[in-house]
Amino acid sequence: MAEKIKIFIAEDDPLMMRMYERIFRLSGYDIEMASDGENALAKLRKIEDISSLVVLLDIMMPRLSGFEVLRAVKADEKLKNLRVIMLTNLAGKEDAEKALGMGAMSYLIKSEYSPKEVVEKVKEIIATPAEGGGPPAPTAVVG
Amino acid sequence: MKVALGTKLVLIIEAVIILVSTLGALVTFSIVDRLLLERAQAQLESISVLKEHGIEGYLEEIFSEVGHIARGDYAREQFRRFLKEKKAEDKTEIISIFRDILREKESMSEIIIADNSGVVIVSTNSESEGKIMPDEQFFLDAKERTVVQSFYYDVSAGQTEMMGAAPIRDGSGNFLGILVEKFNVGDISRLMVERSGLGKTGETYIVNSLNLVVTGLLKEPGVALKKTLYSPQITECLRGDSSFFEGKDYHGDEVFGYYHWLPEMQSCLVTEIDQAETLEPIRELAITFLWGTMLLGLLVGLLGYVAGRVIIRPLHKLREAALKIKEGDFNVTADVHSRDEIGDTAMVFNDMASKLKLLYGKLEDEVRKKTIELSAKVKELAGTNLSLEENEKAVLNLLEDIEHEKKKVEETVVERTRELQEEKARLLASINSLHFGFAIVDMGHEIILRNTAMTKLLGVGDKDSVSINDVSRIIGGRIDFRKEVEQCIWSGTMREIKDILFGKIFLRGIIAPVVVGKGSAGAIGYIFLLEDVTEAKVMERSRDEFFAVASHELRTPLTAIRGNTEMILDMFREKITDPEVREMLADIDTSSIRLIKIVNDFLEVSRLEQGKAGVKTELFNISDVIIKVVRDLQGVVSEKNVVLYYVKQDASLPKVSADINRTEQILINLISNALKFTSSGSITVEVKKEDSRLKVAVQDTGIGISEQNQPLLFRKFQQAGEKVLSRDVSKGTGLGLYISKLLAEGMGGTIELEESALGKGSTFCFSLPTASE
Repeated sequence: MAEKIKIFIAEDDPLMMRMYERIFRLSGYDIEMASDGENALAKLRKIEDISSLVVLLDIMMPRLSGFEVLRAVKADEKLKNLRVIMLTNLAGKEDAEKALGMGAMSYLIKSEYSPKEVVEKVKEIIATPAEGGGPPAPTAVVG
Repeated sequence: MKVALGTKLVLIIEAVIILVSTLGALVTFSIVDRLLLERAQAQLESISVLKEHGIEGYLEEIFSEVGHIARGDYAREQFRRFLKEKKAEDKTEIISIFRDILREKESMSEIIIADNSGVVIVSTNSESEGKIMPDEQFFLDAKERTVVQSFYYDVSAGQTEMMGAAPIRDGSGNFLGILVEKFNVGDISRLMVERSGLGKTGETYIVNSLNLVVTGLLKEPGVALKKTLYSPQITECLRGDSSFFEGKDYHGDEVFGYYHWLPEMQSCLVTEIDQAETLEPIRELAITFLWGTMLLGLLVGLLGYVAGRVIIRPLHKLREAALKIKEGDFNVTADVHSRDEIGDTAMVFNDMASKLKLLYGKLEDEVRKKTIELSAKVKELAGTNLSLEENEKAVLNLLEDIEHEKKKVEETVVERTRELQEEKARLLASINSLHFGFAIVDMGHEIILRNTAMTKLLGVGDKDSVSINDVSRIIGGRIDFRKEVEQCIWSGTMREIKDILFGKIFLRGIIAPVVVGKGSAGAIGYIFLLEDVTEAKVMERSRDEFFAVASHELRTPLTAIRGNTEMILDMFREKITDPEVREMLADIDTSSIRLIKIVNDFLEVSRLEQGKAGVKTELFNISDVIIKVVRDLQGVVSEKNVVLYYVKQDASLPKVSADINRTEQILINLISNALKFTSSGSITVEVKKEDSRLKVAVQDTGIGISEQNQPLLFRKFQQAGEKVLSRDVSKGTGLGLYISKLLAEGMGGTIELEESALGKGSTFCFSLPTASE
């Protein structure tokens, strides 16, 4: 790993929070957490250096939804280049398209990946050059 | 109409007389008119000059009067002394002198002495004393010379007056003060009212520089000094121009007038006389003339009658003789003996009559001969006529037949019209019973028939005519229906416009062409449907919300179960030494994965059923998709004793127009299914071209599907050959084929079981539309 990545998890469900915190910690990452959208945005605004930060953003959260956080981040002069990956259980195709359209790097559906796979996915996404190919599109689950 | 010669003669003479006399009259009238006008001008001008002289004389009198008093020896000494020393006894004496003068001169009303600053120091009216001379200019002028001020209205005296003033100087000519005398204007008024030479309606009056009439008016007595007159000629006169005037006076009467500028008095002297009076002579002349003409006319008529009797009678006799000859009586002579042109004519006539008598005899013989010949011809013609009559009858019969046919046709038309009306009534009743808006529109985009639901939806009046452009406008211009219609007619297919937001409701529009014959050229109009889908929309939205929440709420705990189990198995594997615990954990993991899959399938079905599959249309090469899927699935396949391969065709295939991910999904599903029911053997994928579609076939050598189970294949929760209670749950929810069917149909394709035999295997295939070009 060429750069020291810090993972910022915005997640309201303690079950999910613990799970993702654990896997990223055990995988050797620094972790920062926020339990709702408002809290997430406030913390993000206080962080000096965002260049090593990757945000895993849930969508259904109290106070500010993930979409609203994403919109605020992209509208913020300081935060607009922040790397944001949506990590949610909202599986609607429209939601994914909306988030990508708003500037999210990728859209991961929690139930589709094991925690370890999520770590792998995140690694893969931030290794992909931001410009050009763009983030890989979320894959639909086959029934 | 026949007019007797004599009458004509008289009429001509009358006409000539009237013409000549009218011309004469016109010339006379114009001359007289001009003369009268000139006379009136001369009269008015001379009168106004006379009056001016009168006024001037009066003014001169005032001049000399004032000058006389101011400079007269008898007063001079007292004035001078008083102005220098201001002794009371001198003042008393001066006033008594002035009073004497006032008694003598009735027209004088007040005598004043003002000092060199314009303050009145002596006056026969003690109220004036101590006041300042009101008109500064007049005072300044009076310091230099004797002056007369024009009419002015003295507020204190309440009447119109004139003022004369002259300087008082000492022996060596030094200015001491001025002497002012006020006059009432009675004399001038009398002079004005004096109307000699002005006839009944003539008058003179004076208008001062304030446009105020200062003397009495004949037609409006008592308005002197109360009435102001403003007219262009008065304005012009007050500017110093004297002129003759013809038009309406202050009273609205037509008058001739002369406006004469009086420089001394800065006023306008108006002399006017009514036009009616001036022109009276012309009227008299006209009446006299009329009488004269009438008398002359009568006289000429009488003369004409006598002349007629003398000249016309022989002519009458001649006419009667000619009439007799005309009737065939040739034994006639005109009994005229006058020795003139008429007499000569009668002689010639008589001679002509006797010659005619001879000729006529000959002519009769000739006629008799010709008559015999003619009757033979007539008989011949009668024969011909008969056949003509027969022809005519035939034509008449034909016409009758046509008439009959026409009646029949008319009856049929009436019958059909009634039928059509009934048909229309039935149609209207049935379309009116529809709960959605229905309209038939012509190619000019005018709605020619619509039901009540349509009228209500659009919110128009029952009788209002509405075009498709109006519909766009009413709905708010978000949808250009006209454009949709054009595409619908061009393509010849029905068009659906979803989710039209109209105020607070959602509408769904459908346009379908009405075509006679082939192609868009045969379109004679279109059907336009409009449905209120608000309620359905609301239901749909709440269902969507339900599924979104369910999706999230169900999947989150499942994800936690799966995630944690996998993490234990993965990262703490060494710590779990008991293989049974490990197996149990693996089962939890498998269950959670299966549950997530079921939830996903349920949600997918629900979304697809709502038509919210989010199917894209893209052009791609189907071979690429098959190659990718076959490669991806090799791992799964290799766990079994089965081979999976793609039988690639040599011929190049056209691209398909569908959603690449969804196509992949169908293919994975069909192959996975085949794998489930094939324990050993092969699964092959093949592509065939069929018209404008590509057909992908997935063939296996598995257990096959019995005929009785085949119809149930693509239903919800169906797995071939299994009852609900004895399903093999490890093989999935039974939604796979159902989802594939929804997907294939959502992309405009089909899916089917091509063939299957128990123990031999099955072939499933799906088709997709190829790119149109």
